[in-house]
Amino acid sequence: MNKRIIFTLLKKELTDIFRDTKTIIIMVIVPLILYPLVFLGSLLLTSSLMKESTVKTYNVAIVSTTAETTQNIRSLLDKALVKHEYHFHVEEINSSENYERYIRDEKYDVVIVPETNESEYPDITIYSLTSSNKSSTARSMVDIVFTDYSDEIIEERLKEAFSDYETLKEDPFKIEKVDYSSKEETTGMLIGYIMPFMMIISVLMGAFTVAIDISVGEKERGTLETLITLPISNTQMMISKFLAVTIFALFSVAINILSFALMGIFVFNSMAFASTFVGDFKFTQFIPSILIMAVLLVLFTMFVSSVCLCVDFMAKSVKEANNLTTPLMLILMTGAGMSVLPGVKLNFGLALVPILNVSLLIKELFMLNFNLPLVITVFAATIIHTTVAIYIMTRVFSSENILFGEGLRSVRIFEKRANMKKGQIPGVGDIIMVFALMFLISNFAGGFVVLKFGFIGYAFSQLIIFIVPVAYAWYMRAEMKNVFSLEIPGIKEMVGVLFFVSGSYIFNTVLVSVLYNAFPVIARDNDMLSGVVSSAGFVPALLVIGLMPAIAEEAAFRGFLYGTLKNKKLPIFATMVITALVFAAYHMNLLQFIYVTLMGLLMSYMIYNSKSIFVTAFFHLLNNSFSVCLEYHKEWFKGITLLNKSKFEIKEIIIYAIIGIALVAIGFFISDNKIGIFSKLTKKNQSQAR
Amino acid sequence: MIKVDNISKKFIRNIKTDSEKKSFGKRTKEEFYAVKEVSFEAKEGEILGILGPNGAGKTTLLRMLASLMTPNEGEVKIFKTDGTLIDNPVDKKKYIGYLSGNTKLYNRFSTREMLKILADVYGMSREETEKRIAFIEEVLEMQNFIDNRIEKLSTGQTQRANIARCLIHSPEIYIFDEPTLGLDVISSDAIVNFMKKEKEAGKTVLYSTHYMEEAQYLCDHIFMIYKGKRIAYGTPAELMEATGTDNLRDTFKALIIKEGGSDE
Repeated sequence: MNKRIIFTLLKKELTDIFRDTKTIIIMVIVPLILYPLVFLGSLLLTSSLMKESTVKTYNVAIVSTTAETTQNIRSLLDKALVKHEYHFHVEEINSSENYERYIRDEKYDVVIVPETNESEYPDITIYSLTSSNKSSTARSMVDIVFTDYSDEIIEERLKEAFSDYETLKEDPFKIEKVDYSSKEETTGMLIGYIMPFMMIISVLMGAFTVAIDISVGEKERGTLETLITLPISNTQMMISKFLAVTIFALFSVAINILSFALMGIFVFNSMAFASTFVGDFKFTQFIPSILIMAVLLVLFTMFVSSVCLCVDFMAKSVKEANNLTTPLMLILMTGAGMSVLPGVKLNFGLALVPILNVSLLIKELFMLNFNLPLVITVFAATIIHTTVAIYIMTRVFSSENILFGEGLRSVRIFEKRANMKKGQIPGVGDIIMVFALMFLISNFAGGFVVLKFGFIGYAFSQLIIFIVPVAYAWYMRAEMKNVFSLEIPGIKEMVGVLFFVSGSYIFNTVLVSVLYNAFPVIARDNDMLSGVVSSAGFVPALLVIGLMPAIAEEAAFRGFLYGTLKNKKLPIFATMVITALVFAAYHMNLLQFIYVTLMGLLMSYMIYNSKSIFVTAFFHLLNNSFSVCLEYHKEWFKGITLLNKSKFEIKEIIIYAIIGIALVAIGFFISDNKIGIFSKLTKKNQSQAR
Repeated sequence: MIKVDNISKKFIRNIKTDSEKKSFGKRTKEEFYAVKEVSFEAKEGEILGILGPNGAGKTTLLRMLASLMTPNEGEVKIFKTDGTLIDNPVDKKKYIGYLSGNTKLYNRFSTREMLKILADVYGMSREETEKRIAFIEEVLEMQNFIDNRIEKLSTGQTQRANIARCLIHSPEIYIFDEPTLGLDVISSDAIVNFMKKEKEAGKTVLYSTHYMEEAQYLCDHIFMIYKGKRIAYGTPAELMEATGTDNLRDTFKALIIKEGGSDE
């Protein structure tokens, strides 16, 4: 790919964007001038309102009874000026007058009616109007004055009655509170709630406007046709546009950060609490968080830019693009906002969900929680999302389709079934589509169902894994027999499976125990499934963990994925490795990744050799069922030391590993079609059959 | 030289259905050929006119010639002046200057800035670019407005800027889709003269137009297309003789009527 051309095009795109006054006004002037103005304006307004309400004088009317009572109340209200800074203007009225009218006409804010009785003090009734702001404030002030007075009288009485009142009043015991969280952590929590949303919104705002302008906008203005008369490839055009959107969105983020930082400094300096806060506050503690966030934001911006461009290129006009991106924006914003919800905490599941993982990680970073495996998972997930989005962007859309609107090129699902050719082979775009669908459904819906229904939820996600690829293949009228390798298996391959499964089980048991002991941190995460399993009975577990994956996961991985790739111009070795790696990645577990890759490679070999999916399904069934048996009926395997130990000596490790490899090797010699001991037999059979 | 080898282009269009007949799963789209099995060639120093009524497939054909679209069947072969075939569709575009009513310019750039960017994409050196821009500026008389932003130019000036865009990489083949549409006599004469000059310089020019007099005066060969298919090919004189008419306008009408179309 020619970097010079991309650079030239990028320069052109950026110049074009930055010369567009409308965009610049929205992107620069708004955050830099409007935000602070609105913010400071509201700040000034609230403070002036607060001042106003404290200085205000409230009109109070006292209904006259005896001169003494009135005088007492007057002096109480006057004292409130010193004690609470309450300003009252007191007048006397007659009981015959209409208080309600007075209050409603705002002549008085409250009317106090004392009522003499047998006791020393008169009862007090306060008339007010809650619907009026001033009246209700005055009411609560007057209320405080009288309550204070009442407390004072009670205290006097108690003092008189008990000579040791002062000692009685002392607290029986002291309560002391020690807060471990440092000032940095407290601030971090505050920032952690605001920061993710703010950052993500500024990325979205930057990317959305420009992505529309640069894609359908160009198409509508007619310059896109000019652009593709140039000798540039589709990828070059896409990449330059993608980079332009990314750079501009990052620019928008920078402007937003600058604006908020300036406001923050201003508020920090002008507020009273700042002095108590600064003290030993170490800003340096946040530097790693900020650096990690910056890298994450760059990745995230790339993801958002490519997603935006994908959506916008699907649209036929700017209007349509706006219609398409508005719901997308809402979804993304919900994802960003979900991190604020109580109880939503970053874990290995959520670390894979786009947007939400970034939002949650930023929150964690500012709370100074550095969980390294989680940070790595979020980064890896974001890199994968971005790569997939860029791949879709450059491959699915061709300039011809964008410009002359023939729809999408290589994702078959967007066509009508009736228009499909019979006996197609899916493409790479189809694989991405199927796995994205599988991932989305089983992650969003499935994750929820697993949480709610536990075991049944696991069955549900297996169902999804089966239905999505099979239904997709059916819809696109794929050549099912070819894609899913629906061949009747040979006897030698099925016999080989017995050796493969026992060999790999022995080898993996030792390998897992070694890994467990080497990385105890990772191992903790591994108990999730066994928790799900033990909640169900033996037979259901056998069905859901033993049988269902043997059908569903085989249909998806050795079926759709392997079946598609084997038909592409790809060395068969690469196909086998890719299938194994995707299969391992699907297990979403660092520990499992290592041994599932090995098993995946073995299974890739099996389907390559036998050309029948039933062979690998049989292997999968035996392997998983055996695990379930071991989980439920440990007593069946009492005599076998291998299965009852969790830690092995080096000598044992070596011996078991050799036994495992030897069994796999025997399986290999029995079933292999080229160099196996029965290979001649097969060839003879085949030639006879012809 | 450009050689068109049996190219076809399929599109999908909506079928008009009565609202009551619409039901789920019913096919409402059908494929049709915008261009079907078209072949011809155009040599150096030749102007080939592509004529046909509206919707005949002229624009689709020209887009395929300019490598903006890929044909579903067949191939467009572009040969260098030394006779070697260019395989890479991206490289083909280096030999082609394409102009149509749909190729709009970037409003926020001046003509000079735009030409510099294009020259950069074509891989021209800075010196080469300066020279070429100076030459184009003179030929198209753009001295007054070459540094103004394109959004401020008049229609005629914009059209000249657009032609400058096609010229910057000194292409061997020009593909013009109705270049004189909507222009006044002076502007369109300038374009006609330009095409003639380039032809004399040994370039290949393919262009479509609705102005028959212009085509009759300018073209060495005429390719007539109707409903995506070729209906006639030859020199203007040959076509007039074959239909027994004395001007190209009548020839055009006669040929369309012969194919079952109305003369309106």
